[in-house]
Amino acid sequence: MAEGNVGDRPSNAGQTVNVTTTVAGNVQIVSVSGRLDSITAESFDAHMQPIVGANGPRVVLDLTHVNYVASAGLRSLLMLARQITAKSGALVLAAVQPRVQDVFEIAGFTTSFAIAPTKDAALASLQPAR
Amino acid sequence: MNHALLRVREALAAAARSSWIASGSAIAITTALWIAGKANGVETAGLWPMRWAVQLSGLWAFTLFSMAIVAVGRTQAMEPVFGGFDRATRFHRIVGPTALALAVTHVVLMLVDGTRTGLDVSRLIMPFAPGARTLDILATVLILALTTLTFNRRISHEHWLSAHRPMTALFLIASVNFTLFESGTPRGFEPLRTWMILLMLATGLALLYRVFLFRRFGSRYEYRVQSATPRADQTVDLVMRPVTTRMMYEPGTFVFIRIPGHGSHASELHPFSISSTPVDRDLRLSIKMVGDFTRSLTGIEPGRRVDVYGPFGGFTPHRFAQYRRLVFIGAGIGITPFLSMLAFEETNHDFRRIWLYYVVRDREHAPYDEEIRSSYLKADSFIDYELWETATQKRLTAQRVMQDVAPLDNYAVMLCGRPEFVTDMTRQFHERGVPLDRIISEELRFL
Repeated sequence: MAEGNVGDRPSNAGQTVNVTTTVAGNVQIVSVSGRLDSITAESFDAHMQPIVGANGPRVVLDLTHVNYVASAGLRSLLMLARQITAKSGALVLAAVQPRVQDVFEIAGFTTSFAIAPTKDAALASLQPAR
Repeated sequence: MNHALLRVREALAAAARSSWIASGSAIAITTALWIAGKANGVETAGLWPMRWAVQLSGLWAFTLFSMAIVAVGRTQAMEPVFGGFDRATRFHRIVGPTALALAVTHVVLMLVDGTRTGLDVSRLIMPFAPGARTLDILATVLILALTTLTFNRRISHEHWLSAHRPMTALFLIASVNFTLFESGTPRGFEPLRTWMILLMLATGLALLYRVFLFRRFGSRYEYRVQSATPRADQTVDLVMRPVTTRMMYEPGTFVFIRIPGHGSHASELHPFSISSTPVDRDLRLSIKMVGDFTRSLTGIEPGRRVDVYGPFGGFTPHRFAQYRRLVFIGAGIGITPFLSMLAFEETNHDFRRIWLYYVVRDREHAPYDEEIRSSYLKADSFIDYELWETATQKRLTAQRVMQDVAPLDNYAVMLCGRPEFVTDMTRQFHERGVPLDRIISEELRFL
């Protein structure tokens, strides 16, 4: 299990982003909490690099505790999705909060990601069919 | 769709705005009082077939002239009625010429009616002729001459303003004469006369405030010049620091400035868009050097006092909070209000999707390209930026913008640039289905 505290500086709202990675079978579950904005996005990217570096990564990004995503965070997520797709992997966003969902809809990115209502549902969608 | 038809449709779309409701109501009141006067038997002889039109066209011209002048009185109290001073100016530019056209119609109809009834028409067109309404004739001729002058695009800002002041004064003199001393429905029917006196008072107060009181009692802030930095494309950045009170403003608004002791320009007021963010202490104006005053700004020394009047205008995204997707298009110096909006976005946590186009001839004429590139990714809002070089990419079209935005919809367009550019882009977007109330524009014109 890898764990990182992303964002040494407080964001504009005085918050940081925490990123925790756990593994369930061949799926990596990345739990994020806080804001994803111009202050924290770079560190978030750095945390995700080892994960997207592998071949065929299968990733669930648990956004249960992400209360805000700004443009820099959106760009990070888009880049992440592209990198994972390029490596023949799969990314599912789980438990997107209403405020973040609102940002996705305004930006027009709801169709750019696979989104599941819960972490378990996301996990199930990445399990091989039996 | 031709431009004239578009203007009419714009006017209709704007009819729901309070300024248009106010002017429509004023016309309705004038008409209703005229009808009431006739119902009371005032000057009812020979109304048909033409005199009714003569009288009503004159009264409507008077009413619209009053509204047009009140609109540009520069009182911040009137800004909510017109949705900002820039919109009030646009209202003035539509209603003023309309009033003038009605005044000309009034004169023509009067001549036709006079000829038809065998009246000596020299009394209507020749000043000082026996029985002539000399004051009205002279005022009309001078107003028409001054109006013609204001349509000359080569005249300076100050001369343009100078032509407007006597025009308003002449209008008031003619109105007072007609309402109080000449025979006619207003003089014969007290309610109509009272209504016209009220309109005249409002017009007179607006003129008085604009010409004499604004400089003293307008919302004024004392600033000192920090720097005047020439930029590419004949542009200068004037950065000023508040001396006592810092002016708070919305991004996208504009101010008038006056620089006491600045040679022959010391008493002049000039409007410029703000290009800084309201969260900064310093106020920056980005100015295209197109006249004597603006060219003189590069030589202005730091520490020079500047009187800043404002802020004015409704060209700000805060007034359109319901639109979560915005297309910003700034052509040339029309990028200025968007610089302010963009700088503000760096500290603003109101997420929006924004597409920003900076339209220039080529990179050499894009003094703010680097500034935009260094900042737009820092915003919370998701911003796509494109420098559009017409020398190589030809004209930016609504079709191209809509291709970039697709498949998203439900967006508003904010346009700033020369009037021809704004009108053309408005037409294009509207023809492609964007409703006029979603096309928000600011034209770079005299105010």
